[in-house]
Amino acid sequence: MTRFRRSLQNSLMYAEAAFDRPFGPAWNPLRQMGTLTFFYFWIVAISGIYVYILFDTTVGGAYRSVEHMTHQQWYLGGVMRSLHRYASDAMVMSMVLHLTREFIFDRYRDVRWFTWFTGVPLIWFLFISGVSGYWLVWDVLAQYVAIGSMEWIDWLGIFGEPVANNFLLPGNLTDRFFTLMVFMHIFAPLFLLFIMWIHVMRVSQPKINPPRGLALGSLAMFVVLALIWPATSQAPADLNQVPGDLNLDWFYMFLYPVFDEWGAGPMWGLAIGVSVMVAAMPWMPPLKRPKPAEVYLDKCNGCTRCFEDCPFGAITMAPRSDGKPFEREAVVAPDLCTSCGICVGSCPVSTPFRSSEKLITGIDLPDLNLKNLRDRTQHAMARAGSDGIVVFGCDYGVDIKHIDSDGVQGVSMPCIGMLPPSFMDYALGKDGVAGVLITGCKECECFSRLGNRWTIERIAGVRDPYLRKRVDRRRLDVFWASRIDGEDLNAEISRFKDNLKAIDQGGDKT
Amino acid sequence: MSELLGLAPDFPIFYLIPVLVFGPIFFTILYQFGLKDLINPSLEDRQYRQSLKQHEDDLENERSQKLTESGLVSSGLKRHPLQWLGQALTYIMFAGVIAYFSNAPSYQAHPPDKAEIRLSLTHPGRHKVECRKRTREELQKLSANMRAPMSCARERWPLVVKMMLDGKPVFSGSAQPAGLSKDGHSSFYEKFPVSGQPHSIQVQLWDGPATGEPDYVLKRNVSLSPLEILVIGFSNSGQGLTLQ
Repeated sequence: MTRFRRSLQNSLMYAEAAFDRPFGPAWNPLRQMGTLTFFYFWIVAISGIYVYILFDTTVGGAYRSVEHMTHQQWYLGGVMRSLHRYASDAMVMSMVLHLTREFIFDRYRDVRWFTWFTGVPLIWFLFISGVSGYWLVWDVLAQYVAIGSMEWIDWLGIFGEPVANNFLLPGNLTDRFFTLMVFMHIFAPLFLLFIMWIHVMRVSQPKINPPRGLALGSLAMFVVLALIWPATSQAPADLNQVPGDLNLDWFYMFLYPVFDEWGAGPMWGLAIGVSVMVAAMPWMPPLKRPKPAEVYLDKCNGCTRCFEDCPFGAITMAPRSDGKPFEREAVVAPDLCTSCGICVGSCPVSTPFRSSEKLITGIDLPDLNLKNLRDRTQHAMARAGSDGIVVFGCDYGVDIKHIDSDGVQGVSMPCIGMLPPSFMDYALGKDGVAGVLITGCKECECFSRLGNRWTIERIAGVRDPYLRKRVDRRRLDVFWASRIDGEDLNAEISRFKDNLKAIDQGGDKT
Repeated sequence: MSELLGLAPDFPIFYLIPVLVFGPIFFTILYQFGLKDLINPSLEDRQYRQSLKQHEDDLENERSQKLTESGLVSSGLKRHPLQWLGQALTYIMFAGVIAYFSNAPSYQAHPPDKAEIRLSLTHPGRHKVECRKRTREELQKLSANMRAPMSCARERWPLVVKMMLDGKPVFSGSAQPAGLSKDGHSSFYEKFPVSGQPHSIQVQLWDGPATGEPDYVLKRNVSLSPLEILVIGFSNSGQGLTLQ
């Protein structure tokens, strides 16, 4: 499985690298599938409100009102209707890509199970919302989909009389039942939104809005598409005739032909079986993770930096329990901690300069503690030499353990956010190396969500703990690289070496 | 009026009356309970908010400036023309996929030369045990408000249906009564695609024990055109099995 997953990861990384070229990492749509899904939802919601204003909720008037807004008021009603349809189709696409991507990058097990698990009802509610919307147009496609859906539900036998009977003859379908369908199409998206909120509620600082450039680009795409290729209805529904040749919306209706072929029972089996299997995936098998972070109260002054930086909300601030003159202390929830070490990097006590034999900080990882990190840094500094470079990197980005270059030594950790800025100062200080290169997961791709963002902000001096001003920034290089970017990293190291030589010779090369 | 509002000519304009009547009332209530602070705050509030916003903006500007000066973040809009072109091509590709699959390829949901017969009937079977009159002793044992003269068991017989098309059996099945006590209606919902030509249909229904002669029979010759739907139903108002 690991080898299979790694090959999938590599393929996806190459695809993302291809999209990085025109978009740049921050605007790359492949890295923003979750936020794009949220954005498409808002487009669907707003356009839906407008469409609803013009919509006639009676059986006789529904088709006519939709036709009217499509043709007579094409410039607004028609555009809104097309936005409503195309953005909802795009939602299915972005949702599928989002969950596939999270699966491939193994971001669904362990503490992330909750987000993955709540994604399963999201799929159901998205399909209910989409399919129920198609009923309301009341064309032959609506007739086909409505009858198919009801026959599928009827198989459960939970209603005294088949619901599909409402579509048996023209007289059977009442305005009252049709209004019920309208309500379903309003309430299903509301539930969808509610579950979307639950979906991200355990994530600290969730990203639910795409970058402005990407949002505007997507919106422009939908508007142009709506004008060039507006969404239209098919022939009006006729309950005296069976719908024959249909233009399905395959994003929402790909299962209906399967239903025609297999029947209701196997379809329920498929739908429930796949849902249960997907929901159980975080435990198939469960992720083995290192021990969670531990708080050392002797060194914790309750400054809240670890609490603010933790990407998974695993740290809370509680009233002081040891009688020390501080208001609060950090408390780690072990079941939420991914052992990324970002809290270690954020702790102001995490400094390698102290000479005490047992280097203790306010919060630390039992499996890779600060002392261990300092030992490894010292070892790397000694091997690299005073003209060399120490590369600090993470276990999920480009592999720095086998850097093919003289005088360059790598120190890897669970996340680059674990590196306190004082370590950069330490490595470049007296008896230190000539340069420090910071690397880690590609921009917007951090496995621990916020590691490279916090690192940049600490270096730039906008987030505690700051990198000291005394550190010569020319001797510090930052280069984000994924696993497939080994050659790019080697090229960057060569460039950085040349730069350092130029600095040592009195010049400055960029 | 409808035209002015961009609504369909026959849009029932009186639908808007509740909005026009309750809308202002609702708005007034919302205005008094908080909306006022949002859209028309006091001068003091406005000044406080402005100073707060100014402070936040200053912090954010300082932050952005420091980040930009560090050279560690890329500016969003600085792109080579070829990159913009690449983005446009990606959007076109994405839009093409959405536009195509939201309408195509077409799907033949039903053969164009075939009609469809739907057997859709809902009818309660007879009670398994016939009702009987309670004796005086039995009635006296019951509390006063429970003294119904007839005693009826709730459970009903399942319905049994057999259907022949052009002399050949095409369906035979039974349907259990709905409800935990099996005292509800029994329902059938079956679909049969048939060629669009004359057919003879025979349907037999048992609503009691399925032995002996059926309780209801329907025999009819029909001629169907392609895609036409013929519904075999049951009228509980005395007509028995029906064709519609």
